[in-house]
Amino acid sequence: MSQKIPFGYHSRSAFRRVVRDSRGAAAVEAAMTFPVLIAMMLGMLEMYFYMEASHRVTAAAQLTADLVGRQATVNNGTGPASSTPMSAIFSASLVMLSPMPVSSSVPTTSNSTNPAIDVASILFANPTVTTNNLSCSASTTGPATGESNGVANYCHGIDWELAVGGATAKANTTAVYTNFVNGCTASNLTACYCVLTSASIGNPVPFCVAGQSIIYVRVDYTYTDPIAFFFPIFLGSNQIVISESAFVTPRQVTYVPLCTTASSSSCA
Amino acid sequence: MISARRMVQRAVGVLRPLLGRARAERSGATAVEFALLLPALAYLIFGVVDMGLMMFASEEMDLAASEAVREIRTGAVQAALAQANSNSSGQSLYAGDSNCIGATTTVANFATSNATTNCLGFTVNSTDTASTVFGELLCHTVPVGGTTGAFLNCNNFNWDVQTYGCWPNQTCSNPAPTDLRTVALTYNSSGNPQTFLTSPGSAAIIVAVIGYKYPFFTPLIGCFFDGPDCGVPGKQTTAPLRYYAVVQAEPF
Repeated sequence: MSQKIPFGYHSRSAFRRVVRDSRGAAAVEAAMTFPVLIAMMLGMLEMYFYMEASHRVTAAAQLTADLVGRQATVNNGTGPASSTPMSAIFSASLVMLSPMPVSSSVPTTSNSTNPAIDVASILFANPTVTTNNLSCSASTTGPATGESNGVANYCHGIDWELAVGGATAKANTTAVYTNFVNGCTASNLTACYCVLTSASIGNPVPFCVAGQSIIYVRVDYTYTDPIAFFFPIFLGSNQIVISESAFVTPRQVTYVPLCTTASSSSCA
Repeated sequence: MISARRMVQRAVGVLRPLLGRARAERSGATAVEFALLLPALAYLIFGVVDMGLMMFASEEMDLAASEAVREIRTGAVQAALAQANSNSSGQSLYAGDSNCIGATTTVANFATSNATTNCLGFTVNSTDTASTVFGELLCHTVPVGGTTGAFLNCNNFNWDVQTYGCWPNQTCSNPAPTDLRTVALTYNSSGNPQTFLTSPGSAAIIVAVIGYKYPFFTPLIGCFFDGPDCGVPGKQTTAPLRYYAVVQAEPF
């Protein structure tokens, strides 16, 4: 009677032999480590390219806001000769994003481009005063949250807004202050700064002095990752919209009016 | 007498066990394999370090570029050149004191001071052009490199800065084009900006591209960055770093 050889005996011994064999261990370890190392390197490059793009978009938003804030009057197509065409400023925004790829046409209110840019002039006013395009009447300003009824509220609103290249306008009509901070009360609002949290803009607005305005600029840039290694894994796409906003106060005037015709009376 | 053949046979007889043992010896195998893999590993590590340095250079270069553009924007470059041209000694005023912060500089101030530097931090001579002053500025505002260019090499900077008197539809001698992308920023055959800045005068609109060529010490890494020297034998690959800005000058 022959001795019964257990099933798998030979293969198990071969397996043991392979496991115990230390020849080529470093090569095997390296083969296991290298993909991880290369993935780390690619990931680092990918993050760097993304961070650089984000940096450029931030700089473009700030420089665009700065340019708008430096103008006395602006126009969107037609305006008095002294007013600055916004299209020139938008073309400057495209230069600022270089050498990243941008659309071949300058963003306008009727086209769709990458980047899309939203520029707004937010004006602060007394509730009973109609200033330019902003009409603040007592009926539009209710008591602020946490304030007793009847306190005069200042209102703010979009004096004008240009959402170009397919940007979503964040405009609303009028709104009231909702937060008073740093010792601001309803009676000393003109003399102090306060922080306004506005759902329509999405960011805290740092200044709100009646009669003045701030310029809001948001640049939405659709970034395409050139390496497409980790981005598709974590985001499901090698594209991500980098959206950066900037606020500036006008430098030459208390608010920057937008002209709509060649007559200077159209500037408001 | 032992023949030569016998001598060889005897020597082989003595050495054979030793050679056999060396052949069978496994204890140094890992070290040998590691030594074989080390170049690849070292390449990866050096590549990562190199890219880290490139990112650092990029940030430093951005900072230097924005600071240098600011000096045209505030009129400091124009003022230094004007001083150098108006003074008999042909140098800009020494203004390491209150002269630098708005006080009117006069030739009398110049005579009593040490004519070694000015508001910009270096001497501007009447022979200097706006472009050479701008190149100096780029060099001087690099925090790490300083005047000697310890980290960033001053010679690797290129720039093309164009200035315009007013916005497109406004009245002046050289209005900016309607589309600022058509500003003829010039690049040389290596893809770097041509070093260029004419006298900025009372610039209103400043369109600037500033380039820095970062040389990688690790071969072929520059191919990731579209370096112009990728794949050229014997050439160091580079990352062409760029800074673009469009700004409006402060009133000065």
